[in-house]
Amino acid sequence: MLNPQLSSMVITPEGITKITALLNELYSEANARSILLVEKSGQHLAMVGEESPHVMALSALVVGAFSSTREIARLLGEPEFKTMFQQGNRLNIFISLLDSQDLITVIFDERTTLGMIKLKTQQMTKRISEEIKNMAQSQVGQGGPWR
Amino acid sequence: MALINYASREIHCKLVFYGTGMGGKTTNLEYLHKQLSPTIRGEMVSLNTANERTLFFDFLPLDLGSVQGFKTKFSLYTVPGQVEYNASRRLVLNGADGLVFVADSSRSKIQENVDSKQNMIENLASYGMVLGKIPWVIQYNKRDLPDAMTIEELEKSMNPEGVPYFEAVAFSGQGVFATLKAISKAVLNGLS
Repeated sequence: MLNPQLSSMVITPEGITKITALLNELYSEANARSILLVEKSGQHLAMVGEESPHVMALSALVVGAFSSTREIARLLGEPEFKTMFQQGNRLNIFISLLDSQDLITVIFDERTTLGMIKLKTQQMTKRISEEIKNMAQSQVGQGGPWR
Repeated sequence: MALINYASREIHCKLVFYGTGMGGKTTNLEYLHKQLSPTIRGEMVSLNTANERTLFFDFLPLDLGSVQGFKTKFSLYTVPGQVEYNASRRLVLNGADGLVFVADSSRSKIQENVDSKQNMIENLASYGMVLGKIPWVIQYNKRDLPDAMTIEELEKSMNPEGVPYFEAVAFSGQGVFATLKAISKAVLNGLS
């Protein structure tokens, strides 16, 4: 039986296929370089587009950076910041918080614009959140991982 | 939060090394990074201050073999030990599946160890977690110091819960793998 305090998240093949399809849709529509979906404790859930050999470190750092802004918000008396943007010379990163508290990270270059990335990402966040929620609910009562 | 991926047959767990400043948390990760083959560990990431103290966290991903057909992947984090970085410590604890409390064996550090453990309990509480319901072990580091307290003294002060403890000299690697093996096993047992 799972330890409830450790509250494991189970990724099903069906669930991750649907989530990856949504990420691919966003990837195409926004013309991104790659998109990374990161669970709130820093584990990566999925990546589409250009793969990175540093995906685990990237995930940990994305969550770390976003968590910092959460503390900044708290100190300023703001409930939370929903998005974060980093601009580089060649690459930019747009991070958006999902309802599930997971993070969608869009890496993009000069082939698209920040406005397009923001618009398409925000249109997609609700659908991705719902798929994550559905995947979590599909596991209720199904026991531990060693089936 | 352990992540169990049936699609890729992988289990991802998060381990956090907690303890006082300059107690050897980063040294544990550095030793593992140095000793393990690049085929089973990723790059180590350190977010440090200018004087090499951990500012936010160190991060080291490891593959620790397979259990019942699932590949087990562990993300190791340290927290900054310095008292003033509590906000960072609390953030790193989020979603931890297992904890290693790295205590400095020096007699002069005993109060700092006690305070740091209390701080860990308080920060866990901010996530609704209780020490004792999450797998954790203690590592008594710097056993080679001339003023090191005896294990009996340390156990009395630091481990009334009676969790497994390990003697270590992280700089030379003594006790580092034993600690990792114990906590990773405890975390996986907690999932099954």
